[in-house]
Amino acid sequence: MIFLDLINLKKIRKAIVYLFCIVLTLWLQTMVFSRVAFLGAKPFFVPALVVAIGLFEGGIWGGVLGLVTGFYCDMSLSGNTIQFTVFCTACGFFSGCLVDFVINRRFVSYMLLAALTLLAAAFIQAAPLWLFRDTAPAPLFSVAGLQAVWSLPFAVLFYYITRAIAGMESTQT
Amino acid sequence: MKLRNYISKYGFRLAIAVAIVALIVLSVSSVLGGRAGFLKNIDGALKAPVQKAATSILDWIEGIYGYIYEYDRVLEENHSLRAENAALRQAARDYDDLEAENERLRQLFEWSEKRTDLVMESAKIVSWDASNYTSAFTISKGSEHGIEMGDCVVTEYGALVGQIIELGNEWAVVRTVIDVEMDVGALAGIDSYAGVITGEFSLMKQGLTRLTYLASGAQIFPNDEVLTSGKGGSFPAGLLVGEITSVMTEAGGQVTYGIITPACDVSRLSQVFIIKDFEIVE
Repeated sequence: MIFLDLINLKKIRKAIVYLFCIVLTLWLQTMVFSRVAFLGAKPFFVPALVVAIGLFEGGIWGGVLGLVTGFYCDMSLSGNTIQFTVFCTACGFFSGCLVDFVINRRFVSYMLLAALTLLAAAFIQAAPLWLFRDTAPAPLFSVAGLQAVWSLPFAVLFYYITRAIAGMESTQT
Repeated sequence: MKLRNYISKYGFRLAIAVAIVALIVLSVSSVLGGRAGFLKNIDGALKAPVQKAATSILDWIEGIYGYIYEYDRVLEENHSLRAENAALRQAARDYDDLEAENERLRQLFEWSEKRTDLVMESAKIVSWDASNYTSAFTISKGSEHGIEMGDCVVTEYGALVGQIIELGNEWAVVRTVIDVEMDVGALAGIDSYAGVITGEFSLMKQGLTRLTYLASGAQIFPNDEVLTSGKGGSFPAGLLVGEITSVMTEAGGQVTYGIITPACDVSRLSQVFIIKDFEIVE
């Protein structure tokens, strides 16, 4: 019983719900939306989920769940890279920092942050081809831009889902 | 707490966590050399049934879409295939004469006949890579079916599809021939000029690739067939890669390269064959 008192069951429950959301999002990303292209670009919306978590749960939760998301994302994509492990951790942590000190949690603030993050995610995927494979930048970054735009509608969903999960605890306490 | 203190306190801890994860991932991937680790295999095993179900549903939806929107295109394709069939029948009638001539030429130049024995394994495509910057897919078979890293993947007609770049117990990732990272030794033209097939981003988005690093003086023309050279031992020699559709010159005007339309339509693949072993008998 003493050990049970030390464990915060509400936080564990919330973490499990977030982990379920992360896995579901990544499965949708890799299994369904990997076949749905819009003007030749597939959406890549996972970083927006991390931003939403950081926004509603703060920098620590954002960073830790960003680390988990990024690690799983790198595992799901072909090749052995760690770019999303680093990127998603940073996104989750800094979006939490920003909301604690600079911006508010409103929808417009979130969408601006999510749009910037999705653009940055597209850029870090495209940049190695531009830098190391001599690829012409124009077609590369037009696909990156389309990818970010195509991912934005999913970011809207994440805002409301994450707000609901974050609110779940406050209504229970 | 101020922003700077917050970042230095928690950011530092997270950076250490990321560094540890990165170190573990890089060490494990260098040790495994493309083979999937424990976690990735568990993930693959968990995903497999969901992927199969998702693929079946998406195929069904695509089938309906195809029936509604692609009927006219299929009708047109049917007409052109009929014409092509007639031409092929004519070509088949001419074939006997050509074969006899070929046999005579072989004897004339004392060429040794080569025979290639291929050990194949069929597999279904279960998912495509989510990235816009690669062309890769996951297949339903892995090391438990005798597949190895670097194995060559072809269609049922023997056209080159790609190569195994990641391997799990019951799944594998195939990098396609149009991918930006793909490099395959190839021969093209009547005189079998050697070159390298290297992917290019814009071409990849159109389902094409290119033949570069041709020797000086090499002459390639549209409609020339491109075959694997077999150099390096990763791919059997003589596999059909595709056809040159246009010949281009790079900005300096010194380097010529060919745009290749692959013999396999990568976007329409659903089943592939992995060449597990091949033997060239001289």
